[in-house]
Formats: sequence, C-alpha cells, structure tokens
Amino acid sequence: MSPPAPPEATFRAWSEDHRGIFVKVARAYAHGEHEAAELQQEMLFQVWLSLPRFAGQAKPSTWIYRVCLNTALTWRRGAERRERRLDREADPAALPAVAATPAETVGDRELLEKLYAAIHGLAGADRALVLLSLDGLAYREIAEVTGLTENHVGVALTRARQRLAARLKGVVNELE
Amino acid sequence: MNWNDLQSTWAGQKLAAGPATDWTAVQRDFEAKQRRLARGLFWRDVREAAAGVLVAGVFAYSGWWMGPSGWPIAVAVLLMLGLTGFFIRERLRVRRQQVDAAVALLTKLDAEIAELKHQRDLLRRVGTWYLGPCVAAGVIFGATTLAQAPIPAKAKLAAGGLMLVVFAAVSWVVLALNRLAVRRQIEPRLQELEKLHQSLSSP
Repeated sequence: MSPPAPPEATFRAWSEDHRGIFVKVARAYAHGEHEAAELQQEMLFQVWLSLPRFAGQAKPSTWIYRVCLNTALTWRRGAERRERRLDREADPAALPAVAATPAETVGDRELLEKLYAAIHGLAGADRALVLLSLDGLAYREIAEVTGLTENHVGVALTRARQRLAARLKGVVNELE
Repeated sequence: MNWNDLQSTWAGQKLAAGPATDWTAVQRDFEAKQRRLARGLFWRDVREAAAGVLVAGVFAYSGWWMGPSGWPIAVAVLLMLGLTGFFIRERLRVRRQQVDAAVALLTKLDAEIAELKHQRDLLRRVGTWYLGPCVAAGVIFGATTLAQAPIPAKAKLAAGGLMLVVFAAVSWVVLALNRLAVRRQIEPRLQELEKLHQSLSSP
C-alpha cells in the first residue's frame, strides 16, 4: 500500500483535476473577469486551508464543491455593495465565456453564454443547485453538498430548473 | 431542448488552457497569506486584551499611590479586568465555533446566521457588558481621585459633574454607533443570509 500523498501534492493534483469546478463556480457567482479571478483565488486558498482536515468521507469533487460554494456565497456577501453597482453597470452575458475550443460549435458557445447569464440571474441557492445538477451530480451528492435531504433536493431542483427555464425562454423549450 | 441536452452542452464546455501554474509560487503565496491572517488575528486579540489590562494597571498604580483611602479603585480594577476576561472569552468562543469551509451549505449558513445574531445581540447590549463596566470603573476612579484632590469642595463637584457629562456623551456616541452598525451592516446581512437559508431549505 502506497503512503498517502502529502497535502501539497494533493492540493496541486486536485486544483488541476477539478479546475472546472473553480472556473464554473467563479463564473456563476462573480461579475466580470477580474472578480472571477479573485474568487477563484479565494476558493483555492480555502481549499488549501481546509485540505489538512479532509478525512476522505466524501469524494474529492463533492468536497471541493462544498468549499467553493461556501466561499462563493460568503464572498458575495462581502462584495454585495460593489455587486449592486456592477449589477447596474455590467451585463453578465457579456462575460467572456470559458474560452472556446475547436471542439465547441458556435451554437454551443452561444448557448453556454446564455446559460451562464440565466444562472447569474438566479438566487444564490438556486444557482448552487443548478450548477451541481448541470455537472451531473446525483441527488445524493447534491444532498451531501447542500445539507438537504435527497427528497428535498428533488423538489428544490425542480423549482430551480423552472426558474432557469423561465430565464431561458425562447432558447430551450422544457427543462423537466 | 431538454435538461439532458443542456447538461451535455454544459459538460462539453472546454476549459481554455491557462498559463502554466507555478505551484511553488502559489504555495508560497498561500503560506504567506495564512501567516498574515494568523498574525493579524493574534495582534487584534492582544490589542483588545492589552487595552483593558493597561487601564487596569494605571488604575491599580493610582490606587496603590493613594494608599488605604484609594481602596475603591480596586473595584474599578476588577471591572476592567472582568471586561478583558469577557473579550478573551468571546475570542475563544469564536474560534471554537468556527466551522470549516468544507461543511454542507446549510451548516455553514446556520453557523453564519447564529454568529451574526450573536454579534447583533452583543452590539445591542453594549451598554450592559461594555459601557456599564467602563463607565462604572471610570466614575469610581474619578470620584476616588477627586475625593483625594487638595481642591475646594465646589471645584470637586464641578469636576465630578463635568466628568459625568463627558461619560454620558461618550456613552451616547458609542450606543449610537453600535445601533447604526446593527441597522446598516448586521441586519441587512442577516436578512440576506436568512433569505438564502430559507430559499435553500423550504420545500
């Protein structure tokens, strides 16, 4: 049996393997590239701080989601005033999307940008649920991240999807 | 397009390859930030505790210098030391109750809401736990010092009256600032977190 990896090595590996979580949560909760970069840095720092206490009860991705969403929700609170100002000035849809790659079609890119803009318009809790669900987490895993029961996750998620669908009206027909 | 289509588009989003991360530099930055945070918290605690101890020390020295007639100042010293003890207990409580960043969202929200309510209650009751002991200690110290002062009785009364007016004015300002902090900072944030909690937890 190989010895456990030192926290530094785990931190590097997880930061790279789960980079998508940091990028997506930052993009969903921050306004503008600069704030998204700041939030990503803060989430990485919180992962760094909490990693020595990770005891392996959860999957790394679930654990990272918890840290990132907790950080994003708290971080937003601190930046609330600045955000209200930015809300008036900035259009979240204008945020540069996760840069396109040759594998993505123009249609996909446009849809992703609209999707991010719609997610931005949701309340903090709905935003978290939609992100987790879009990333394919099972109800049990979403329950682990949020602290809700699985049944409750189902109900809350249906509600969040309906709100998302309302914001994506004309883009998608149904989100059941 | 349904949810599954949306999920597959979402899953298909590719992350642009950013510049190569210098993990040694990141680690060094985080270690430095962690040290800065710890140092900042340590010195804030020291400042809060030291202020009370320093005032208690000045009172104690004055009482000792006055001799047996300065005994009431011992009460003022105890009040200031009690206040310092309260600050230390508060800091220890905050550290004990701090929740990890990796807990479930509801747990984190519960902890933040509980802490904010505690802070709100402390600010609302600042007259009881902070101003009361401070003013009482100040009045005891001032009255004992004035009683010993080689000045006419009328001058003692005037100085005592002035001291009470100053204490009352300072107390009023502190109370007003605390009420303002509750109204402008704590209450809005509390409402926001409670709303978030409710939106997450209500079926």
